[in-house]
Amino acid sequence: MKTESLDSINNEWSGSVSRRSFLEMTAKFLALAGISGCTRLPIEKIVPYVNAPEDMVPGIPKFYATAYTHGGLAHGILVESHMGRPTKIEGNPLHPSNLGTATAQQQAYILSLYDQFRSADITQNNKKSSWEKCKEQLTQSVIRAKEKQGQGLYILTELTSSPTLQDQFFQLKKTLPKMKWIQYEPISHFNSINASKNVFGKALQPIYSFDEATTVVCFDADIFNSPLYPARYAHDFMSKRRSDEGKQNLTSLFVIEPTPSLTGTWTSDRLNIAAKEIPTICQELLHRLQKNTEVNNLNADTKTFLQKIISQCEGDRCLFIAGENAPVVVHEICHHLNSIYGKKTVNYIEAFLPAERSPLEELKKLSQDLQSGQVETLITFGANPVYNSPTELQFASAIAKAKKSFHFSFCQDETANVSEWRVPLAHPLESWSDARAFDGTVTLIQPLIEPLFDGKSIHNILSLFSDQELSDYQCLQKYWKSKLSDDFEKVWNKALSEGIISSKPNTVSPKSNFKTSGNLSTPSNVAGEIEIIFRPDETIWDGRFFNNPWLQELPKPLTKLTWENVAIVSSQFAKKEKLKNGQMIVIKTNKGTIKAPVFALPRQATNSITVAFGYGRKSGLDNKAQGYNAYSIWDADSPFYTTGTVTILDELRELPCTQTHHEIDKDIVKTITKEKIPHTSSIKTPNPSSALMSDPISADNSTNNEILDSKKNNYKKNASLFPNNPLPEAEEAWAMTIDLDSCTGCSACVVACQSENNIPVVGRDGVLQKREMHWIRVDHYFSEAESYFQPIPCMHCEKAPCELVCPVGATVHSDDGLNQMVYNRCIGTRYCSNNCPYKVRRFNFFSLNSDDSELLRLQKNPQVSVRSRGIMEKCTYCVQRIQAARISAKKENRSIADGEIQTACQATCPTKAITFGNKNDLQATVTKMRNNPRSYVLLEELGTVPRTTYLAKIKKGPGHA
Amino acid sequence: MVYRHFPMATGEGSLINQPIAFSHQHHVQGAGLDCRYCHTSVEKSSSAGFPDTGTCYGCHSQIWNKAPILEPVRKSAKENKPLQWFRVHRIPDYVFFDHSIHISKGIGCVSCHGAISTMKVVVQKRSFLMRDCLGCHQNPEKFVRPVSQIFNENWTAQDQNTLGKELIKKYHINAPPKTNCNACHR
Repeated sequence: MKTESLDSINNEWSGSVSRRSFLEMTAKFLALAGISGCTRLPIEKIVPYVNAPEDMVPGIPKFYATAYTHGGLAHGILVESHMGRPTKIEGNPLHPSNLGTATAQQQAYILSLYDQFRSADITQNNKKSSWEKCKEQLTQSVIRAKEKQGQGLYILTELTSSPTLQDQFFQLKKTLPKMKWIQYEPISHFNSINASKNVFGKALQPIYSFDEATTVVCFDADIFNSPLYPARYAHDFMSKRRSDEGKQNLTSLFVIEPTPSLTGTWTSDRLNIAAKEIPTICQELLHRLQKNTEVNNLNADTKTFLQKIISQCEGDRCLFIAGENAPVVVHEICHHLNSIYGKKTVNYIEAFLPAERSPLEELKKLSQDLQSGQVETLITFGANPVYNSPTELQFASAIAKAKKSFHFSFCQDETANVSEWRVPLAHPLESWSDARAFDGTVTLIQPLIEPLFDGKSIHNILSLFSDQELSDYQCLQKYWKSKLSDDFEKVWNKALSEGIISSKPNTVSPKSNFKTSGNLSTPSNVAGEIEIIFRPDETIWDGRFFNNPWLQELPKPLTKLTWENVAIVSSQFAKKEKLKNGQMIVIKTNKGTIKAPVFALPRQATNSITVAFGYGRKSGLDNKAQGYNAYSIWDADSPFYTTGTVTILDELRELPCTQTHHEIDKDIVKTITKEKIPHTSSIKTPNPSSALMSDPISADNSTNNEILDSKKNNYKKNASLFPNNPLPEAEEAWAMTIDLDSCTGCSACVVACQSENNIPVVGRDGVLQKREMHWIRVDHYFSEAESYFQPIPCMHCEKAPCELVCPVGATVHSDDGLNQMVYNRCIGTRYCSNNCPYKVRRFNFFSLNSDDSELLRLQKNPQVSVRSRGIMEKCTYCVQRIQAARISAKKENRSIADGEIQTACQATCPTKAITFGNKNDLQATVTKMRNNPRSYVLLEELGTVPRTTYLAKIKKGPGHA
Repeated sequence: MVYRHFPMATGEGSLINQPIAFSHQHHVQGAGLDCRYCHTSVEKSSSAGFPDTGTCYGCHSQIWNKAPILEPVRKSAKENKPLQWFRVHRIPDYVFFDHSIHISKGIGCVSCHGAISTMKVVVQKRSFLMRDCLGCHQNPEKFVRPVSQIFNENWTAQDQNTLGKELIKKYHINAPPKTNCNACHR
């Protein structure tokens, strides 16, 4: 164990009083305190409305249906609002993109509304100015541009699918035909759309039906976790798998990828291959399927893997998916294969995202035009190319060459800093707009709150350039009135309550004209060079969530790192080069160099290094989050992978990684082979030595991954050291089950819990000291061959070890079986945490919540106490939701219905791995899940009788394809 | 520790100066207003609701519209600035009390707030310490009343013991009553 020096303790003690003198003072005042104690509670003010909104009931939150957009695609969300204060984001159950679930990023989006780095002032050349002046200059620029038919006017936005915005641009083009509209985001679906043009002759976007698919083949496509895919995909895949339980054939998922993704990690049919080899393998698969010929020379492992896929490819219920980081040729082959084998599983709609040139090409062109002085006026909305474009494009200096540059963004960023005019843009939760979902469903974006910093809307700004200035609301109404002539009011009111303006467009049935191009050959390795793969970060993505403390502190699903990025190397490479996790390396490509700490991850392609975008920013939280900027070596001509050399430095960096925190040194992940599911006794436990890797590099040494039978556990069932105080009989007995087979490890539950329960972030230093506060954590167990995720909230043990040791009765049991935490009794001894075998209790070492800015406090959930320093806390099964349901049931003199209470983690889980309910109700889903033969209890031998139970992961049996 | 049980600390019985000398006695006994005219959400929500300026101004733009005592109301309505009142009945932030459930289960306003209709200035009549809550939660039959009499401060039962037991059955109130910590603290 590491001993802490006195210095480090003193450093933590911020404030003018030293630790010692504080203790002295405490002793002196303790006697006085006995007499005086507390004074009267301070008198509070009540500030009622002047005119209360008609439908506002204080104390009852309202939910508004709107959308979150990513890569131009809308995801339906419901935003909870307390007295006009947006506090939480959940999925919209009526929206096809997620059916009521939400990903970690979608939920954490609420924090960006209260971002301490939101831009508040209008500035010209860094001097405060006014909107009138800015507007005047803006309109003048446009008038000048009109004289030249729009020549020299460039508008840069992020990818958008808004029908209203597209129409506004269409109308503008009539008066400004030479105006340029560029849409840019570093990662997009462009390759898929581009490939569809080659294969089908027109730009199309595919919609996959996972509820129909029997075989899914992913070429570097992270369908379970990439924000470019709807959460619906993971949801449908897992719900089909659950409904197929007990049947002979479960859906097969094959993943071919160079760097582990959550999709690849979930399945056992994964081929680990360098990124550059994927096109060859894809082509080989096509040849084998079509002509049964071999064209490429592949190694034996790959051949066997392809053979496995081929044996499953028949009929019309297959899916071939190429990811956003796969080259066009892979997309072409996948489109073609889907047109043969995926007739029932793939539908196409006409593309609504940019289809002409890739966003990166567009940006390159803009950069050239800027450099050559062709750009008179550049107006940017939201996009941040100074940070998130290849550094070789020199975008910062390019912008300076524009005669006028206006930058509208809701957050201070690098591009704003180099633009002449900086104007706050209204946050999407503050303004009106619309957007299309993955299947073309048009979704309404409605404001929850007036713009906090008087932000402008893009619709409003564009209307300035036409005859008549309109607000965003008017723009939207005008467009939709023209589209929905007859029943506008009806559709509009429905859209306001349900979030959907028009349902999905008709699908098209294209014919594939794909012709196999010549034989693709994999570029051979150059000695001393290594493949560098560019990827967005798992949580921060392309850098857009850099200022989001929840996502910064959310352990990245695979590496469990927080607050910074690393260069991921394979464990073989780390072993060969004798690298330790955190050892610094310098990666040199023909575009530049970066210095990054390494992190060895099993199942990374042997000679590939993955670098992650998103970090190394020069604005916002840059003093808290660290890391390197991968854009500085990003190759605009080869955006997915390149080659480079690596120099190893003799420098070690301590990484804020939670992999070894809250370690349980026992077998807690169980698996079952699908043939044996009906028999309870066959639940297996992987070998403990390989189950929890304290250091992922050592994972390689553990070749022994035998499966032990749980019968060997010689403990007496129902035996317990804890006193046998039976719980009083109650109508309800709350219980939770977590299905490890459905869990993809996406960690949406962690953010859901954090936003529901006012959980603070502790920062990078806090994580290094193992003080992260998440009430539910997602443990990751892995070896070279296998990988498991296990979400762990409080177990709510019926015989809770924590309750026995609390000297002040701050943790006690309720009749309905909750292990209650009473904050106002807690004196912070932390005995309970020490005695908890599951390590689920969290301690507030500091008053982290009171450090929040005034703005951030608006996010807090008023139904949950905001805890202070010195208090223990843990998962409560969302007791505020239980109480709300109980009160409404009691008022109506009825029992609480099954499914009426959804804990935050359960509601958000994209794959519905978590169920919660009353185990006394024999018909309840949770009871059925508890009676499932896969059900098991963590550390059952301790006799704690937990209310949270798990369902073992289903594994393919030996010798099974 | 001992001190906090004295009225000085709990605020029991102390007078608080409000921006307007609003008299509950005048409005309830005199004008005959129901509690729910101003505290609109008391049956629906955890919060009883607090009247906006519009509620006052609704009547007082017509009657007593020149009274000097009502100047703050007129000012608030005119300038669109909220009135700032001082809270009399305060429970700590870690207590989550719900008005609506108490009302639907037959606990009258008077049980906690005292006879508000007789007060010219509202005074806290009980300590609002946890023992106050428990005093009732452990013996609900002594306090429960027909829901029709919730807002009637003058109602008294002829035989509270018998009626209490009947009502507990009728309203499905838990017996023995539950006092789980998480019911109020979370």
